Amino acid sequence: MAPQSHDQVAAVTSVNSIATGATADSMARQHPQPKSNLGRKRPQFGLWSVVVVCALYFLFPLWAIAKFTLDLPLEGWTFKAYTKAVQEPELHTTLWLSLRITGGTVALSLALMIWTVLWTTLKVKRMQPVVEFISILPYMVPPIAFVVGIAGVFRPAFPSFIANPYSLIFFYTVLAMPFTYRSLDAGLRAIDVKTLTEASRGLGAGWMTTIMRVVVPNLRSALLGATFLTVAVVLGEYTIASLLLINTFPIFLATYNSKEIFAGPALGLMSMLAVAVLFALLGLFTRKRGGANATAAIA
Amino acid sequence: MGSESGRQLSSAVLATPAETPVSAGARRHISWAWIGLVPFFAFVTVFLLWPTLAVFWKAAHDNAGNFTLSTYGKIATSPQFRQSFWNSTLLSFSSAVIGGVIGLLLTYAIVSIRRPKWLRSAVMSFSAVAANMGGVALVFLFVASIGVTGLLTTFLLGHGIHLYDKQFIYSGSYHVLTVIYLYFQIPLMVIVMLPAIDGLKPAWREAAANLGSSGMQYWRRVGLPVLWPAFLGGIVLLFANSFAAYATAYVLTGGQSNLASIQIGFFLQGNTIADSQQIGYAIAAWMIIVVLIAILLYQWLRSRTTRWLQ
Repeated sequence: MAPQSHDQVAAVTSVNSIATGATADSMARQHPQPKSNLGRKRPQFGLWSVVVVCALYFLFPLWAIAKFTLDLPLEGWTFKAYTKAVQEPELHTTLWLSLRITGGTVALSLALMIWTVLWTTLKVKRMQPVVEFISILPYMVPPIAFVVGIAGVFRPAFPSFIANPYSLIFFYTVLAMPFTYRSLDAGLRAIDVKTLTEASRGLGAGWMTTIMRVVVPNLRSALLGATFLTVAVVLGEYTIASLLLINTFPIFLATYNSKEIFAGPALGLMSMLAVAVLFALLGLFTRKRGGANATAAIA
Repeated sequence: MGSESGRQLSSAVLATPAETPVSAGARRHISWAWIGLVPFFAFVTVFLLWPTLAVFWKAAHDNAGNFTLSTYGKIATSPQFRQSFWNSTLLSFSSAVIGGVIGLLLTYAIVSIRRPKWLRSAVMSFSAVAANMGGVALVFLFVASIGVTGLLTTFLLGHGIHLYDKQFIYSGSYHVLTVIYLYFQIPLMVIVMLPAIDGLKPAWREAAANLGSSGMQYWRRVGLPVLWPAFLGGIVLLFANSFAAYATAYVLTGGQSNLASIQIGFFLQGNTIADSQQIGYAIAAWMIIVVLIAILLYQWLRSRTTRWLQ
């Protein structure tokens, strides 16, 4: 760091930013000219080469898997690998199980976290750092270490609980907690929930009515963000399910891949596309309501 | 991000007169207000803290139940486990640094390139998906590309380059894992760095130019010092991310690579003598310590970043 040079430059620029009255964020987006005034041609080439190299690295494997599964040896271009994968009976049972676990996780984590974040914001503001720290704690515990603890604790104490596939709901709620918390917290900060709830309470609404009819509708994009991220986490989770020997969709995907050389990757590509569609929908919904909750929650 | 400004906003709200009666009421009930957090703390205690602390507890006790720290020490001294932690560290470090630098360049590129407007949103959307795509699906992509019958492998074979002939690539190799991990590391870096690079005000650059500095000087004196904490924070986050990864390496190598996370899997699945269960706990405990330190470091660096990027 070179604080001194900073302060000088910042002092010069603060005049500018006061004059335009723009925040850093909107300025960066809405005033494209100044940056590119300096040395336009040369850097552009460098920048584009970065983008092209990255595009090659990221898109080639996608093209490879598409070609690998669509252009079969001795058959040519065909959807056979895909139709075969879709008809696999074990796919239906495992996917259905994963979807039910997903539904349970979304319901549990939303119920728990909406209540907690609201309560913290409204009633016990000084607990907020504690709640925040605990909520992002799962991010600091690698799933593989977490599952060691789970097995060590619950296997001797509650063997039938841990053998039940739905026990995953509780552990996945833990995994999703950092995302859910961040998303809801960002959403709540944006809407001034204090005034809203006071207005609603002042007009005679009870707490339940206030939450369901005032807070939740105002948090729609944050809730969507939290939901979609939870779905993505649960549908892709391999480590915990694998070591607890619960046959969810990702586990099936891995074993199916070792059995079926073409149908396996075909199923993998379909699952990736499903997640991509999920995130595209999320982007669509949150952009309308003006919030980058999804990505903010990850970082 | 934006937590500072959020706090300012709510403190401004607190100053409004409408606030006073409610907070007075809240003060009367203050001793009971924590009741509302009971579900959260109960849930977290049973399903997060208990299992996590049990890892440390069980690693610190031998089979007879006596307290001992020798298992922790055993991990640090035994060549086998030292090697697995070393491999994990090396893999995480290289994928974090390479992914961090490329991610930084890519973020800078999509912020600076303005002509096709969709480029930035396309990269961001892709990053959101790819950053979450560790695990099974990722393996498919690379098996189809650089596996034995992969597209790139067969293409290069047609041009006389044998990827597998000279042990140039084999699936257990850490170089291959590094290349694969970059697929989620670079996007994560893009997501982390975007707010920081967006926060570089064009006016700073103008000001530097007006004061007669060259582009190089601008970067050395302004741009990099401002970005430095965010960049380091990103690298540390990527390191933790890769250190904690299990599924990708496990599925790709069938559990053959000697990484710390894979070693834990072995102990949990009982592939070893029953006596050494503590070893599994101790590896897990060390892993949690490493990742915990890394994430706390990331949080600290991030709080330094937000100073300049309001």
